Amino acid sequence: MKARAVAQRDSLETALAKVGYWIAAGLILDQLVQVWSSVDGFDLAVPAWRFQVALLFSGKALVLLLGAVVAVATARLYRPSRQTPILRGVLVLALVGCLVMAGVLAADGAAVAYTIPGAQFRGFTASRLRGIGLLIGAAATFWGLVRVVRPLPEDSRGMEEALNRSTSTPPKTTQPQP
Amino acid sequence: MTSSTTLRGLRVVLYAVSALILVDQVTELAITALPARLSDMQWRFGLFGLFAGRATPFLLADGLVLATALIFEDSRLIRPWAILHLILALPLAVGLAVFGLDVVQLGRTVRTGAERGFAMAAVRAGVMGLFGLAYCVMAGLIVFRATRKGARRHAADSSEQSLLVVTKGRS
Repeated sequence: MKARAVAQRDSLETALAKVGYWIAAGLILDQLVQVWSSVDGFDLAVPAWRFQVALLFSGKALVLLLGAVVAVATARLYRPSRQTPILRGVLVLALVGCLVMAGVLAADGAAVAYTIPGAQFRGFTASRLRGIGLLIGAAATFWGLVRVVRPLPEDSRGMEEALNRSTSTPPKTTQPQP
Repeated sequence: MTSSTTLRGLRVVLYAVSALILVDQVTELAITALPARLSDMQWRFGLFGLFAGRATPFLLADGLVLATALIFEDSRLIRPWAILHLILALPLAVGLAVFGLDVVQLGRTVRTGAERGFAMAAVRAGVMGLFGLAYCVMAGLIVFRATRKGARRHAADSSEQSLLVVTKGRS
């Protein structure tokens, strides 16, 4: 009875890990598609366009972070993971993206501020500061996640054990010294 | 220290949160979409767009149910949940096909200046609809196979053990 429970738990854990990556990909894809469909055209040379994109991204930062957390939790659950280097790459990319967007909000915000009518200026400044704060917070969290995904000694030990189990060779044991 | 009562309570709370997210999303969809006008092309287009726009909460609720079922070893729930995904894939595939046809037909009637907005909305709904379909099929298959694999592995293990017992008994 116990063996059955263990076998089923192993299979379900692997399945949940695979589905976890799908969920993370879905969360991130949804946010990216939302940003893409909300942006007017594509013009990197216009500060207002860059500012709009950065502001939209800052609004999606928390859900993107949630997707990243799901992916990292999945990677920790599914230890012998080939996806770990890809995941680290994506996290580093997200970290750099957040910092760049925060920079855009700070730099281009100053250029865009002249075009904002006086009555709306307070709201504009508030959303700009909120965006910068959110993006810097998200960047810090992405940095933390990058550190979590880094392969730890326990991970390699776990993988070695898994390899030993799969090849049916007994694990190395240290002989007691006479 | 966690007692079994606390864990049971946590399980109920996690399922309740998932159910709340799902009910909230479905209710909002229903309020916006009703009364149903299935013969109206624009209504069908709007409904699919609304559905695709709610991918994030649906995914979160689904992930929460699966994670809770795994943590608390609710194998009785996991299998029907996987089958539900496979069943949901069918109307989603039909909806996606109808949505594609509606986009082609509606695209001709869109007024000048609104083409870009229409195309963006269509692409967004199409991408998320395709992802939803792929997710339902993959999640359903992965989890369904896992429940079968677990049972099979147990059967193989137990037959191997009984064989060993028989061989030992003979020697």
